[in-house]
This record gives sequence, C-alpha cells and structure tokens, in this order.
Amino acid sequence: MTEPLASIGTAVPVPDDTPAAVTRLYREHWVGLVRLAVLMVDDRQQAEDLVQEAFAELYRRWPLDDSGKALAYLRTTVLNRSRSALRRRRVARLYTPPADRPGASAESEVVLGEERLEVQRALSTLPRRTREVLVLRYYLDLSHGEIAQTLGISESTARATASRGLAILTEQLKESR
Amino acid sequence: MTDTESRLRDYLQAKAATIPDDAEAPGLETPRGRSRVWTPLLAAAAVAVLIASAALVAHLHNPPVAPDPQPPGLRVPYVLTALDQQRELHDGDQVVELNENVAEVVGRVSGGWLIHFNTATSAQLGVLAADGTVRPVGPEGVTRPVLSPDHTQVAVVQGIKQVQVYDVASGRLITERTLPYEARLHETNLHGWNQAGIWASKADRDQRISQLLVWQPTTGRLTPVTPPKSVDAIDVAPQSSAIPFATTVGKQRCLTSAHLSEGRLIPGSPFCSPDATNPVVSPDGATLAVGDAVVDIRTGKRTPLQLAAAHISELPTFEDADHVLVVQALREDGRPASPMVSDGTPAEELPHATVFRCAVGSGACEKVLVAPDLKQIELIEP
Repeated sequence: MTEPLASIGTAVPVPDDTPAAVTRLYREHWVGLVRLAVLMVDDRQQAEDLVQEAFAELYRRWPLDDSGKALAYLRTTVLNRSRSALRRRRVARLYTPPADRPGASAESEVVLGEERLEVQRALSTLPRRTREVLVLRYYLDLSHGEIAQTLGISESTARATASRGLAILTEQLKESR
Repeated sequence: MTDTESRLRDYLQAKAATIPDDAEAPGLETPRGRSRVWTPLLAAAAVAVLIASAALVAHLHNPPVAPDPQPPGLRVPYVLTALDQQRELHDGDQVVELNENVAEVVGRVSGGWLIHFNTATSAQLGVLAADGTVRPVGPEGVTRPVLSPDHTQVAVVQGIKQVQVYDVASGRLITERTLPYEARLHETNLHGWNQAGIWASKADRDQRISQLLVWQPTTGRLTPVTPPKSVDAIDVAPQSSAIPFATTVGKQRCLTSAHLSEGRLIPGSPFCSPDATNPVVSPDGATLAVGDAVVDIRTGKRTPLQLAAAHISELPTFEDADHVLVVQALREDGRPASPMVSDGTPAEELPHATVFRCAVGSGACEKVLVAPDLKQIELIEP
C-alpha cells in the first residue's frame, strides 16, 4: 500500500540556504509528488517532467515568504502544470481517437487489474477539475477547504464538484458492469 | 463510505504505487538547462543564472499595465493566469495583480472586488481595491462566501453550522444564525442568495445534497426545503426565484429549474443530455446553459450556440440575462485547435483561450477577447 502524501501541505521548516533547502525537499518528496502528478496526467514520464518543472520554479522563487509552505506550493504547482498539460492534450484529443492514451502501458494494466482499470477509465472521462478534486479528496484525504486552497476555488465549488464527480463516477461504473 | 469511494481510493493507491518507493529521482533540472545531473557545482551555476535572470523575470512580470486586447463591452471581471501562474484580475480598464494568497475572486463590490484570501493560519474575506490594497472584511476562519443579490452584504460559514452576514462596506457583522443541523459529520455549504434568502445545505454520506434550508436574514425566518430526489448540485439565480439543479437518474444527466413554494422545490421540465452536468442559469432565472446550447426554461426551446469549435473550456458564464460567455481554445488564426502530434501535445503552438459572447435568443456568437500570451482565463460572475 502506498502511503499518501501525508506531509504535503503541512508546515515543514526548511533551511534558509536555498540549494540545501530545495535539495532536501527534492529528495524527500520527489516520489510523492510524481505519484500525485501521475494520478493527474496518467503518464510517468510527463509526471516526472512536471515535478522537475515545479522544483525549478520553486528554486527560482526561493525564498518563499513562508518557507513552511514550500510543500503546499510544490503541490499546487504540480497540479497547475498538470492542468496545463491536460488542457493541451485535451485540445488535441477532441480530434483524435482516444485509443492512444499515454501511460496505458501493459505493465500498468497488469498491476491495476480490470476492476481498477474500470475506475481509471471512468475517472479519465471526468472534467479535469473534477478529477483534481477527487484525487485530492480521496488520495490525499484533503478537506474541502484544503482542496479549495490548493486549487484556488471556493469551498462550495470544491464540495459541489466532488459531489457531482462522485455521482458521475458511480454511474460510469454501473454502466461498465 | 460508498462502494464508489472505496473503489476510487483503492485505484488511486494502486496507481500511485506504480511509482515505487525507491524510484530514483533524476537530477534537478534548472530552468535554463536540460541537465538531469544535480551537483553542488551545477547548483551554484544555476543559482548564478537564476539570479542573473531574476531581474529580467521580475521586470517581465511587472510591466507597466498594458491594456489587453479587450474590446468594449466585456462586462464581467476575469482573471488571467500566465504559464508561470502569475495572475491578474481584469475588470474594464482596471488591472490588479493577484498574489498567490488570493484563493478566489468572489465578485464585484463597492470599492473593488471581494476576495477570499489565505492568511498565515486560515482564510479571510477582503475588499481588493484597484491599487492592490486589501481591506479585511470579518474575521479569519470563514468559508464559502456568497454575496447578497445587491452585493452589499456577504454570507459566510463560521465553524461547522453557523452562518454569518457581514456588511461589505463596513466589515461589520449584521446578523448570524446557527443552523439546526443534527449531524456534525459534514460542514454547512452555502449555495447562493436570492430573494428568498440564503440557501444552505449539508451533504449526506453519499455526498448528495440533504437538509436544504433557506434562511432569510432580514426576518430571521428559516425554511426547511425538501430537495428533489437525487439532486447532485444546485445553483441560485440571485435576481430571481429560479433554483436550477442537476440530477443523475439511471444513465440520464438532467438539469431542471425549480421554484420554492411552501417549503418545496417545484420542478419544471427536465433538460437531459450528456452535457447536462452543472446547473448554470442566467441572472433572471430564465435560461439554462446546457453544454454548447442554451435552453429557455419557460418554453423548453433549445438554441445551439453558433461556435466554430467544440466547447472545451470552463463552464459558461452569463454576462447578463441576454448573453452568455463561453471560453474556447483556438489557434492564433482563429481556427479550432487541431492535433499536431500523436501524443496529444501540440508541437507548434498552444491554443489561445478565446472568449465568445453569445446571444441567448439567437445563439449568434461574437469573439470578444483573446487571452494574450497564452494565458488561461477565468470569468467571474458579475
């Protein structure tokens, strides 16, 4: 069982020395952030690239006003960049058959199994914000307030989006049976 | 926890586990290079490059406020987000930079715009002025702000089930009410504020809306409302009594407009389609936006919006009772964005977020704004 990114979003003091601080964050949280990204973009290589970019951006902006929020900043940056990547991909997908989804490797399918692939397929049909909200809610166990802060949306929107997304997901899974 | 929630959690854990705990992180890639080797020497070099470029970056991010190509007539505020996530609020000729603490632009108010922003430990409301200053409204720790129909007051949730109303101009608490909810498992949600009052609910265990209430703060009257079956989401039209809601029944997704009568929501005819996912209604409550079409609630007439490309962006936003704004991604030459490489990433150009204003009556659309520099755009309800 994979551990969720429990420490992401919590205050983690980091040294003032930029290379040391960012390097420590990188070593400790690279895997967790790639996991978050892969849940959004469904492609490991792209997920790794997005995390690299997020750290590069953190480096550029260091020091943050509140270095204790560095992990929350990274998480938001990864999601923002995932969103841009998905938006670009979605534009193209409107005109291409959806068969060639990146990341749908044979290895991945074996690991996940048919039951989970049903969930994956259903999740992939949701709007990207709905998917973000559900990942944050059910993978990171964030509250609706925390989701709202991470995504820059209102709490009511986060709540409604989660509710609607879960309802649609339920219907999709029923249909796949 | 429902079966769907259990399966979703299981899938997410399993998918995340495809990245093993011992996965090796490549070297940190600096913004100026593609090296994947992370050494102190390269780090120092990167610092030098970054410091040298910082001034340029800062300059680029803080240009003299240049007017974006905004034709007259776009009557809603909007937020532009650059690829580096820098954000600007635009409203008419006014442009205000938003820092990373701004979580949400709630809407226009006297003196600027009501924003919900993160503080060191919590979140708070404030009025953002055109000069970038923020005047706090109310205490920290409030959530789910909804503006009164005239935008002079704001309702918020304090704690789990207390609703408070603040005067936006003075920041003064006007009234408050603890809602009589029994369950404490879920927090109160505010859906909107119309003539009937402030609409609040709690989500039940399967996240559907339950315990719907309308609180009229001027009289103190609290009205329990029986929601229609299988309601997933509701909206509140501030200038009318229309309450549109979304349902999923069987395989059908439908939007329905209802009105309140003696504690019951009386539904009209449902409009069902695969695009009927979110209730978006015009301010006067007369028109529903359903995918790339609008529906006259009274007559049931469906009018397709005359758009060049499929509608792919955010939810539509009604500019007024007669016009709806939609955002599409288009190429620079105005044609629909098309695939350029097989992996789904456009190789030559990114699409431009383009705002169209569409007439509710005819469905005719005109281009009113192309977001500059590949920025993303978020329209704010007026």
